[in-house]
Amino acid sequence: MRRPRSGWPKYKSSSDVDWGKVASVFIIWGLISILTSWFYNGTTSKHSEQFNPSQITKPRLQTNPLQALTKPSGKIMGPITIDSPYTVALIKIKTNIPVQSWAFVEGEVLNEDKEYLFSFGKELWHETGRDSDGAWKEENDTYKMKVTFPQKGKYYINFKTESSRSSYTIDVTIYKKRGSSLPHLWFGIFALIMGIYFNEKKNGTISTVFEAMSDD
Amino acid sequence: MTNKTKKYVILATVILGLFYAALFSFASRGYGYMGYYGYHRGPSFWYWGGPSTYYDRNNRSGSISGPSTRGGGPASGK
Repeated sequence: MRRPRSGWPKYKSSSDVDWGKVASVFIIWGLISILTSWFYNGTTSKHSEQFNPSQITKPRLQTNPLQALTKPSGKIMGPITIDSPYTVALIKIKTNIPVQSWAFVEGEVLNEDKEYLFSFGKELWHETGRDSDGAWKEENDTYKMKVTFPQKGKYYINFKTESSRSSYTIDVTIYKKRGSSLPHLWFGIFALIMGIYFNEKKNGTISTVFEAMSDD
Repeated sequence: MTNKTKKYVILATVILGLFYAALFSFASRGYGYMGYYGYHRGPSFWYWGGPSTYYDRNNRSGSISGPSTRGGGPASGK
């Protein structure tokens, strides 16, 4: 077998790759992607209403089933106009529940004909006390969720509550968003993690910091 | 920069760029939230931390003692 003049071909291992440069690409795409998710999280319009539990019609036992359908219980908010399909909205519920009380705030999303689509709900509370460590306070008076309206049109939200007291108010704010921030957020997080991993492979920045900390 | 590094950098830029561009379609269609898959499925695995969602009407509404939260939510039934 004749040996080539220039010697045997050299197969470079992956150690020839400058992983620091590859890391920079991942980190740049990660940051661009997270900025894009922040853009999609931007608010385009806002609609708010405030009410208290006394304004909510309580359910009554109806002897006539037709009357039960035509007179639904709750407090209807809206209409919320959705101009384009697949609009994302953030629904934020904020209450000022008094101390030592709780409330379950439920919202039913209804279409233009006030037909039920889906509902959401969460228990909120405000508790205080005192134990061996001193006074404590636990409060969860707010919740929010994002919803995608796949069709344009008018929508309503019918609120219902059950609570230990009725002397509080419920603030509902609906923010229309530019879109879903989830795809770019998760992609950005993935790209940043990969970028940090490749940078670690090349420079060992994090391990150097930990070593320096352990030496101290 | 070695040729191999250059190749890896270009490859990473193109692949990540393609993924990034493809995600615009999902982002503009409201991916991941309640309603994206229709009203009979909850939000995606990637979205958490919000309240419970229910696609059946509260079967306790209209009952004498009101919508109790027993059982973890309005859809639990009495």
